[in-house]
Amino acid sequence: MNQLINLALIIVILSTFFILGMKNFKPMIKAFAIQAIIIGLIPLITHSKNFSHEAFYLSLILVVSKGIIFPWVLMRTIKKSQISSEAVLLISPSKSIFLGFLALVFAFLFSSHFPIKPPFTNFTIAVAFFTVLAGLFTIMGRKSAFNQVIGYLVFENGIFLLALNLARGIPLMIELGVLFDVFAGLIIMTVAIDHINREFEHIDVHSLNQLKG
Amino acid sequence: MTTTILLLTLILPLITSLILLLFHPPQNRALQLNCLIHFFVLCSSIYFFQLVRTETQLLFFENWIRLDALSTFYFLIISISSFLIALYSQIYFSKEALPESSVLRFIMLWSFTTSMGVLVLISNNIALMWVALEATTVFSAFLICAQKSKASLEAMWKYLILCTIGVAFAFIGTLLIQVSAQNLNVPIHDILLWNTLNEYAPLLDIKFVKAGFIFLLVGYGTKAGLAPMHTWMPDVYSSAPAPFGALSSGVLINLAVYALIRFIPIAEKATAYSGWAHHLLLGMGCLTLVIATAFILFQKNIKRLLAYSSIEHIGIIALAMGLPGIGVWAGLLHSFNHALAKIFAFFCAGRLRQIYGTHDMNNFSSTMHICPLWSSGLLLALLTLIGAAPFAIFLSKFKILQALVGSQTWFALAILILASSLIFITILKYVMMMSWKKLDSHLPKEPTSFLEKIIVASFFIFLITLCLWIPSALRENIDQASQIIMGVRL
Amino acid sequence: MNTLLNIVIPLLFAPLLIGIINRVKAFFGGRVGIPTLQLYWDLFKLIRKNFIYSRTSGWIFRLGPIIGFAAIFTISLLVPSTTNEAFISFSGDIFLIVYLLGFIRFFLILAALDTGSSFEGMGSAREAFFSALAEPAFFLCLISWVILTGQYSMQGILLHTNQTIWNEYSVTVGLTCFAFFLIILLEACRIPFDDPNTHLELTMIHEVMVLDHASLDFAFILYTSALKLWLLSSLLIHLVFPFNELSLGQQVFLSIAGILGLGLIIGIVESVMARLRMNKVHQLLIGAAIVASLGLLLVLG
Repeated sequence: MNQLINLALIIVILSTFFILGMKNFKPMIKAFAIQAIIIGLIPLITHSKNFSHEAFYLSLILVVSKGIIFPWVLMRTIKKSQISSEAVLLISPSKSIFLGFLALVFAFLFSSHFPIKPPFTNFTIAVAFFTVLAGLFTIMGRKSAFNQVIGYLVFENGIFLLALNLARGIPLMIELGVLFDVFAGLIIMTVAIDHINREFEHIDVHSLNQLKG
Repeated sequence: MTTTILLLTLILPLITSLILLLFHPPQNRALQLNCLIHFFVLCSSIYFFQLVRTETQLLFFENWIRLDALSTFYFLIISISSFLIALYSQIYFSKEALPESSVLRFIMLWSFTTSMGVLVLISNNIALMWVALEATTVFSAFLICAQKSKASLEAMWKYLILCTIGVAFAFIGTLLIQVSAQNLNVPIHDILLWNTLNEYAPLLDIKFVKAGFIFLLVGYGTKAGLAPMHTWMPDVYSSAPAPFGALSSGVLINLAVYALIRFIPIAEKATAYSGWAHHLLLGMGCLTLVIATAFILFQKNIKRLLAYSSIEHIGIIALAMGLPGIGVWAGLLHSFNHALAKIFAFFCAGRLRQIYGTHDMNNFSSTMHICPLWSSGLLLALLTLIGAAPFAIFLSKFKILQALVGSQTWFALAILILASSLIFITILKYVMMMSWKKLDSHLPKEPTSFLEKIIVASFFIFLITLCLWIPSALRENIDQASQIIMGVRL
Repeated sequence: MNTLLNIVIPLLFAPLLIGIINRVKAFFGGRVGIPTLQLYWDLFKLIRKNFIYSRTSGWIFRLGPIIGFAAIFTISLLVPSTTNEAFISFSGDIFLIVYLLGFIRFFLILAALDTGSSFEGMGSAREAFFSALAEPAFFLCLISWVILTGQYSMQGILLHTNQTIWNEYSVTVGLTCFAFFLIILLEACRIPFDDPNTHLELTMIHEVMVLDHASLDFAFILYTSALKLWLLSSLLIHLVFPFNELSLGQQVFLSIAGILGLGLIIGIVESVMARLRMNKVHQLLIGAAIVASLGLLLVLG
């Protein structure tokens, strides 16, 4: 089972690198969907020996909502608001991936201080922090507001992963509450992007600099 | 019975939102319903206030919900603020030419935010508190662009991104606090409960408590407006309607401050009362104060000025929380006074903007002649905010100065005095200019309704009274609340 | 006997691998394709031809292919490609192998530059760049395997790879094998890095470097590429299927069948994909390096 978790984490890392280096939105959304599904399956993997209903429902809800509903909402926003599918990056893809790799190493070093119980290892915490950092990097290093939304979702994915393997006492209600918050945030952000697109004719956040002082 | 009232307080605003969504009542009916609901919340907060005076703490739902002196104190602040804002919004929206659906949406999201805000204050489970606080952030975002314009959309986007990310950092902090309790034999159901954490605080792993507290400071500080995460505030306040400015200053900021100071006793006990958490807050407070002062000096927009004033006062509150003893007491009182004064300032600024059509303070001329009611209100509010005697904030600021001298933190004392003086001079200049400077404006005298007169008069009464006399019930409550923060007793 | 098999079998069977790859590509293209043994006939033909040397080229041009072949032969001495005993084995010979590969490339590049033609120069530049990017990936894979098995020689690594390592570190093994597969594709100049069938010099990487070589030189170069592919594939096969408990006959059979099977896979990869754009090639290589380093991190952490 250790190997299964390692495999899942490797897929998460690879999909995060994919998101870091991608220029188009649709592959990014698909990579995010894969990441979310794998993270959603982790509770099932960890509880595969002693099956618990909570873990099953949690996995189911995570996979359905983050893996299917969120990407569907994102795709619909692209179509409805007619956002151009090309992302403009402030940092080139190769440099982004390299910086992402540095972030992974840093997360690895940072995670060695954490007390962690099996079946998780320090690797899981490193991956979680790396996903968080990658999400932040996506938010900062891109021009389109839509990219910031995807970055925020990746960030929340990382936090979910952190919560799944650090915190034992977080009940199902809280996880659902967090998920609900993220969902509401996503909906509000997509509606906001729609309004911004209509008002400004673009969604370039670096041009939103009217308010100063 | 108590449980029923609590549940009703939580659920009634949600039901209001639902009613507004489904039935689309006319605008004035919706506003009246809003007032009614917030009046109910106010009554319920006073009821719990009285109850906690006798019973110290109330627990419900397997300890997930807990009310103690600190909770009821902040509950009182936000319920009074919400009710007054509800009264004001009746006047504001009747004079503002917004489409009816916009106003309905505003009230709907506001009711939802109120409900979530109450949940923040009553939840004992720190993760539930986080969920509710993030919900307030997310749902209050659309209140900013009640009037869609480029500026308001830009401000809303900044608010959304900055605050959701900031609050997500606070979640990492919450997780770290939970990790610090993992190696003790705490029953797994109770590990996220505040009173359990408070009890086991001396045994918690210091590394994780410290790391968690820093994340929480950054996270909840973004929502509260501590520098350097304050950048969303001026933009949001200048482009949002006045009721939202008042809501944010009176309610949302106080929720964030409450969430932050909930963790001070845990951090203090875990670090063996070394004052680590207090020093951190002191430092952040000073930084915030310095930055706010620097920006106030050249403001022209009344709402941006009020935003930086909010940042300044949050800095003062953080500074006060950094001084154990009288400082904490004064900080709590300052929260109360600042909430009242700031929402009043927003009310006046909003009405004056409706009269003059602009936010630019240079264009507010001879307000005393055109609209003496709201102009004198603005005069009073701004005088209160800068700490003039005999208005409310003077008392709390004086107590903070007392605490600073008592604990001999000279650097912070110097910063506070310097900042206060600079802000005093700047804002006083603007107040004088706005009230009495004559310009060639041919605006007619603005009629004022009875409700407006009541609102302004009640604020006059509050702000002057609070300086001279604090009701003993309130004083006892603040005593208990500051003892909770100091970690003296549960 | 075991060690001699290691030398003889690659020498005999390497051109067959190229034939198999070409056959698979033809199958996917719906053609009959060139005969499987065509490379043998090509080599015989080239040996009997006359030399042609241009007046601008010097002694390096004549020396390049010979050094290439000598180096790959040395590698075949070090790599236990068929059985589990190499002819020569010492601690640290993995570095010698990697740098011998670089040695071959270096001299081929020099020989290409020696002709003074711009096409060769262009091909040499590209080849040098991509190989420089592939080397870290190669080393990261090797380091993972060194840590997993605790051995510093190629023979040692392949001897100590066994089922236990597979069970415990399957993800690392999978990742390093995937990265290694990409490196094999690069070293053998196959799609997605380089198209061996292109006839446009501007799109070539390796083929354009060897444009000017004729007869025996070209025979050496073709044979060197085939041997390189065979030996690296044998490494991958022996990492994937640990074979230190099998008898000699089984080992020989497994090696040859496995390598030809890998040829089949390479043929399929070549048929279903197109060559990457030049500016994406280095991104894929960096991706391979990252995948290998992830495997390494898993082992370390």
